[in-house]
Amino acid sequence: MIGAWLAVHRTRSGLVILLACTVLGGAVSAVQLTGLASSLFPRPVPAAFLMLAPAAYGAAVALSTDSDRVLELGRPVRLILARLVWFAAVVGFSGALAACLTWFSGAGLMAAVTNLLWFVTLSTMGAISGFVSLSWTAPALHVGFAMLFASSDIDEFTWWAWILDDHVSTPRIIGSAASVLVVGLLYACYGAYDRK
Amino acid sequence: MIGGVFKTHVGAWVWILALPGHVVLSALGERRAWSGDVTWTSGMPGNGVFLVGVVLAGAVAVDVARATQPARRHLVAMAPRGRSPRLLAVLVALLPVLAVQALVWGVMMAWSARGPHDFPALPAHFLDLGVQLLALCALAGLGYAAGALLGPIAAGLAAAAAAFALLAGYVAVPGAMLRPFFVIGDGSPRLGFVPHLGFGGVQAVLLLVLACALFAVPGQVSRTKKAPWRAAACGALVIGCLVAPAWVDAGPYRMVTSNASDCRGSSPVVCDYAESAERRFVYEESVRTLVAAAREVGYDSLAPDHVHMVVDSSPPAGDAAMFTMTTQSFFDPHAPGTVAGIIDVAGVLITPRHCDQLYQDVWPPDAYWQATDTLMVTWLDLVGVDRSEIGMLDESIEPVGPHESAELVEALGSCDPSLLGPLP
Repeated sequence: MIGAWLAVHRTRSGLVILLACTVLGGAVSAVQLTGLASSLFPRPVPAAFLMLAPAAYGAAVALSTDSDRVLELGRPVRLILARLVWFAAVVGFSGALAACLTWFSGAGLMAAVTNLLWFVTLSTMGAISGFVSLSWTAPALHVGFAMLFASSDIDEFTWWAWILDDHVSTPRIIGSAASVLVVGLLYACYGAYDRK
Repeated sequence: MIGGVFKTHVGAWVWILALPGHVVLSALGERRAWSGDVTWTSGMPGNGVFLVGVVLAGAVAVDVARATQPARRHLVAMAPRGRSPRLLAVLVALLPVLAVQALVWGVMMAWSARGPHDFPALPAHFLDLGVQLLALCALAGLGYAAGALLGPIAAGLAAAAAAFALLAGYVAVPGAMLRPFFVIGDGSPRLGFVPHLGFGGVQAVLLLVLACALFAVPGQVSRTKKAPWRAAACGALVIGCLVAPAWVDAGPYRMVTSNASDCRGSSPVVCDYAESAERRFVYEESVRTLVAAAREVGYDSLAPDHVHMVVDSSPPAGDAAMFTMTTQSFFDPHAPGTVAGIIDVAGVLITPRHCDQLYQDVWPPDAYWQATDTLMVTWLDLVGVDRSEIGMLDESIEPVGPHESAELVEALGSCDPSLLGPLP
């Protein structure tokens, strides 16, 4: 059953993207970004942080199936539970890779994990809505806007650029965890596949 | 048909949602942009091309890759006989994007025109729009090539990564190989500088060739057994377009080399460049307010007969040295007539930019800051600016009389080493 489950989902493609992002993140682990063009960051941002966005796309790909390849699992409750377990496994595996990235780059572990959970939320929402191959756009746009409009003064990041901040606040942890829980439940109910 | 296209093509939606969002955030960043006091330029939507265009390239790649999947046969049916359905797919994805870009640009220009100043140089801004549209075509071409050669899962990410690598290369190595992207996001007019139409024209041509080459690559790669040199030629053309600008010895703007010969008014006579007319409103009113206030109460040292503007690279000398404005001083000015605007202008007028000591690595001594702060406090006191609004000045500094002001102006004007430090 596990083999069939892995075969129905795009496990291999997702794994390739996740591992590629980890390797690339490791390669740029020493890089600290101080700004983008004329926009200067209040504090340097580890470049490895930015690799978490495409890594979350890998997670969304691994969660998805082709719409014409549905695994017959019978009762919906069993299907929902199976998807929940699969979601937890994929997010847990991605979290482990995020931990590797932070170990390489010296960035804050909690900051990386909250970022990853938020990006997974955005990516999975795209996948649930039927656009798996475009589910990287929302994290990419958030990263782009955050970098361009990172600060309105020299002291602090603006609130929407929290994904660049190494400092973790309690609302950030609670918000990221809650968002990924909600999207996990949505995924369990509706699944993720490419709309034809 | 159009409805079907919007249901299946996401690239257009990405742009329709992302570009206005980008422009609004840029405007909010300006803080005072809604007042009409600031010249809105094509740089705002240009910045959108510069950064959000990365995402567009990926979205077009996915659109193209999905377009020829079995369930997308309506696109194949729509394609004229003998034409590639993929090309049709990218065209229907690209045309709304170009329309949105042109519309946002038009709104920016219209908003700029309603401000209390002359309209910016139109040919340069039209050229900027052309470059932006061609840059979008080139990004879509990048997406087209990636989407046609890879599947939809990998295509979007690959195209976005490639586009981001190009832009990151530009940011990391300014002035190097990626000059075609330079005009984009840099459309602000600068005093003393005029747009270099030749540079924009070269960029437009290169981006057009780049887009054509990228659109040609997939077709040639699929026929490589027949003519491998065609694929190689397309690839070489792409690389050539990226590398060629390194040998173009120019920038998006060229400096005005003539003397500031456009003079107006009396007491003081204000001389600047005819090409700077659209920004004149920024400083002239404040200059006249400051000088009139000083003259009225007998501070003749703060009431020059002439105020000249110069470009940064040609600082004045001799009698005209003090009270000279430089073109770059008003790159990001406060609104004219406001207290902040008057403070800006006073600071510019009392800075002795002709003194070489200011351009050494050594920071000027405390005496210099004491002198300029004293003159600032004195002059602003004469026009009735409240002390609390000046900020960043030592609270212990008090206004001085006409005689002391004259001594300070003379010392700064002669680049006195006791104020500015000796030259190494």
